[in-house]
This record gives sequence, structure tokens and C-alpha cells, in this order.
Amino acid sequence: MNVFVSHLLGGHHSHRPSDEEPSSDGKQNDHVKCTREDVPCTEDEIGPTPPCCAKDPVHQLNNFHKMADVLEQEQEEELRPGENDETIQPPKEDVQGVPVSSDSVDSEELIKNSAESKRLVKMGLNTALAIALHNFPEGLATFVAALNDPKVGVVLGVAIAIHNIPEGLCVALPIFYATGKRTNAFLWALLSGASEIVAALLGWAILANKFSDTTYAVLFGLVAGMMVIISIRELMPTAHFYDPEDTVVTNSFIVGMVVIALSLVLFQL
Amino acid sequence: MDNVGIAMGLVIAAGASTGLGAAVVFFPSIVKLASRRVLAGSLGFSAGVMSYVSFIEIFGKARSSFEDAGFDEGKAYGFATLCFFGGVGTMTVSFPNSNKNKTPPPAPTGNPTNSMPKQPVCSHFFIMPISFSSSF
Repeated sequence: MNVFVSHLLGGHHSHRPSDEEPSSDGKQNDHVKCTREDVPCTEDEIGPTPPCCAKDPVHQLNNFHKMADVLEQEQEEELRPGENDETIQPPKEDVQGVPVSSDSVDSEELIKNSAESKRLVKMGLNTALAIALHNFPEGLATFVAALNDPKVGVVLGVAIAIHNIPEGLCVALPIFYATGKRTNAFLWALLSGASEIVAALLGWAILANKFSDTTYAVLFGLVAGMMVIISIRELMPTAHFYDPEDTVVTNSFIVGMVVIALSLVLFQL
Repeated sequence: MDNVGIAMGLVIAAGASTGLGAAVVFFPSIVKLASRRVLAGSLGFSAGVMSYVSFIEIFGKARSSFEDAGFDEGKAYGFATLCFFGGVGTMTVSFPNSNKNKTPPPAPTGNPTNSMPKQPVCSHFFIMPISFSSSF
């Protein structure tokens, strides 16, 4: 099993062979050591959230990829027997009606360490809370902008939707891998996204009571400042962490500006 | 006030895209699409859009709305600037920095083939909770 997984992992990264080379940096090795899923992490090092995942999330994502491989294989194995009629919709039915076999042992292996899964659930829920909080100004911004001028609202909505996708992924994956409950994971992520709607309702409440140009102006000014801070303090550092040598970040930043400038200019015509 | 429907729909769509990302739990094979390059690119794109729109369009809207509200041009500009920095301050004070506890990325190894070295993925989202819990 493990051989298979590592083979898959190796295959996945084979287009970037240098990825698999151990870094000469000692710190990096420490992180890798810490994020091994079979090694319990020292939780009190930083705080309630798993320090290893925070320190070296790339390994976390590699783990996610690995787990996805395992799950994929499980699904394939489920399809192979073919004796049950549920094969048409295998992904959602894998909890029930599956005979005890090697694949269910594997999935138990995935979540056997209860401390590990508790840690993952906590991480997922904390992430959900954090994202819900940071979604709040974004939802308000989209709503206020769209209310005043739908074209700006559309532009903002698209930008926010684009980076909400990886956010939802980061909430759902830890919860799913810890509990094995797809719907739970999905609903928690949805809940963190729902704070945008709450913010919009709040914005509506404010504007419906006191609808004036001054209210708009103040909200626009506030929202502009908040959005700049979100993108410079949250989005850009994260993007650079994913891509420290800046192969795509600056270019995609410029592309984003150009695309939006073009669409705004075209809307004006 | 006649754009409430559009505005609400946009916000719901933006919020629902969180669910789109979360849908990977139903399709494990999609997790691999979330490569570092894709995540970095989408975040960079999004940051570009958001800063451009904020600086150019929304700030301009704040200015023109102040002018519509009866302030003269200079005062409108001044108030818009004040509100902008009010937003900056609100964000800085009430929303903790999610990157505070991040370890710096290791220096490039100098290996020219190593164009995308191992780097944190999802660090932003995984780190955020730490700074939240430490600031409360």
C-alpha cells in the first residue's frame, strides 16, 4: 500500500524531479520530520493549531495529495468487484454497503490516530473561523460596490470568488481527512463562505436605514482601504509562499490588473 | 437601491465559490489541480484585481460620492482619503495579521533547475488560526 502511494506520489511530482530532493537547509528537514503524519507533533510549540502544518504546509498539501491517492484507489477497488448495484454512484456510497476488505482497513489507517484527526478537525474549524472573519469585509465590499455600480460589483465579485476557491479547499480538506465525512467538511466550508452573505445583509441593513451619498462615500473609502490591506497583507504573502521565486505571482498580479482595467474601460465605452 | 438583487446575487455567488473549492472532498482527484503554481497564480491575480479596483475605481467612487453629497472637490478628496486610511486602520487593528508566525521561506538553493522548490501550500489559511488564537 505504502509502496503504491509513494509510487503515485513520485509519479505525480516526476515533472519536477528537483522537488523530491531533500533540501540542504536544516530547517526544512526539521519541518519535514515534524510533518510526518506518523510522528506526533508538539502542539504546545506555537499554539492550539498544529505547528507542523503551519510551519510547513507544503508537506501538508503533499499529505493531502497522498490521501487523495488512497481514496482514489479505494474508489477504484470498490468499482472492481462489481457485484453490488451501487457501482453507478460509488463516491458517495462508499460508507455503506462495502464489505470489510483491505480498502476499509486503509481508510481506517487514514484516521486511526485519533489525536491526529482531532488536530485536523481543530485546524479545519479554526481555518473556517478565520476565513469567515476575513470574508466579512469582502462580502460588504462586494455588496456596497454592486449596489452603487453593478460593473464594479461584478469585478470585485469575480476577484473574491477566485480566491475563495482555495480557501474553501483549505477548510474542507482537513475536516474531511480527519472525520471522513464529506458532507460535514463541505458544509463547514460553505458556512465560512456564508459570512459574505451575512456581511451583505448587514450592509443592506445599514444602507436601507440611512441611504445617502455620504454613507456610500464613507463605505467606499473604508472598503477600498480594507481591500488593499487584504490583498497586500494576506493574499500577496501567501502567493509568494507558494511561489517564492516569483515565477507566476507578479505576472498574474499584473494580468489581474490589466484584465480588470480592460474590462472597466470597455464598460465605460 | 434597485441593484439589491444583483448585489445579493453577486455576494451569494462569491460566497458559494467557497463551496466550489470545498467540493474537492467529493472528487479526490481534483486535489492535485491545486498545485502551488495554480494557487499562487490565482491569489496573485486576485490581489491584482482587488488592489487595482480599490485604488482606482472604489476610491474614485468614494470621491465622487462625497462630491454628490455636496462637498467641494478638495474636501471630497480629503474625506475619501481619510476614509481610505480608516479602512486600512480598521483592517490592521481589528483583523490580525495572518502571516505573523510564518517561517520565512528557505533561501533559493542556487540550483537553476529548481524553479519551484518545496514551499508551503495553503500556509496562509493554515497559519491564520494561530494568529487569531494568539490575539484573542
